[in-house]
Amino acid sequence: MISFACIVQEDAVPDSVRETLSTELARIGTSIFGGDAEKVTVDFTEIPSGSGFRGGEPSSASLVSSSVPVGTDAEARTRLLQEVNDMWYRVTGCASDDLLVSALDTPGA
Amino acid sequence: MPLYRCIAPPGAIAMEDRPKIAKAFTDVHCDVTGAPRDFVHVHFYDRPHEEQAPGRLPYFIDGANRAGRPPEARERILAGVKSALSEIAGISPDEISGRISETPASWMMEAGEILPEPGAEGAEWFAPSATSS
Repeated sequence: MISFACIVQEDAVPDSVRETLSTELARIGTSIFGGDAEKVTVDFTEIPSGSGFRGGEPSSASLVSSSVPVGTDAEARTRLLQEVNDMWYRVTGCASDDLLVSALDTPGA
Repeated sequence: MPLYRCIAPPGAIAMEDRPKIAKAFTDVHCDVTGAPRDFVHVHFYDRPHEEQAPGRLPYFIDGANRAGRPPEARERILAGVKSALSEIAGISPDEISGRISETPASWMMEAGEILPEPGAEGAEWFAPSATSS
């Protein structure tokens, strides 16, 4: 089953939207790869203030790392990246360059 | 992209040193790759040595780059960031280990765009608002 690891900067993504993000990530993942949304895992790691930087300056950027089945084709991978990207901006309202999404081949995903 | 995760024992890297180390890591990456600075990510994690993966030294730099650069580039980056951490935080080089892993560019999206392969970036990609790794 696919999973998502979200790294966010302290105070950049409020707790109040994390449940929505988790629900939406599970929906996107299962819409592309099938399976049961309740079995999709979504974890959040928060980087404390003063410990996250981008370009050498304090960062507000989030990173979402998706674990997908080994051999996922380019079309499915790109669709996942795009849908996660679009959803994240819609839900969080973050700046348009404040998100890095990856879809990594993972055995067993 | 890239992302450099600097993992160290809790409290071992002073908060006032972290911006300096982040800037130094960014300098190293950009000097080696020619990439713009804007999207070089550096994160610090406080983690006891005994909770780190087996075989690691107390300080571990976990770098993630786009795939496609020669091994020499990765070696220069790793040597550079280890040296910067040692000098700024006053840590013996013997206590620092690290790695640079690679991910295909097409597996990542930043600022709404699939990342280009190293060497295949257009001039616009190097503009100040563009994405890099």
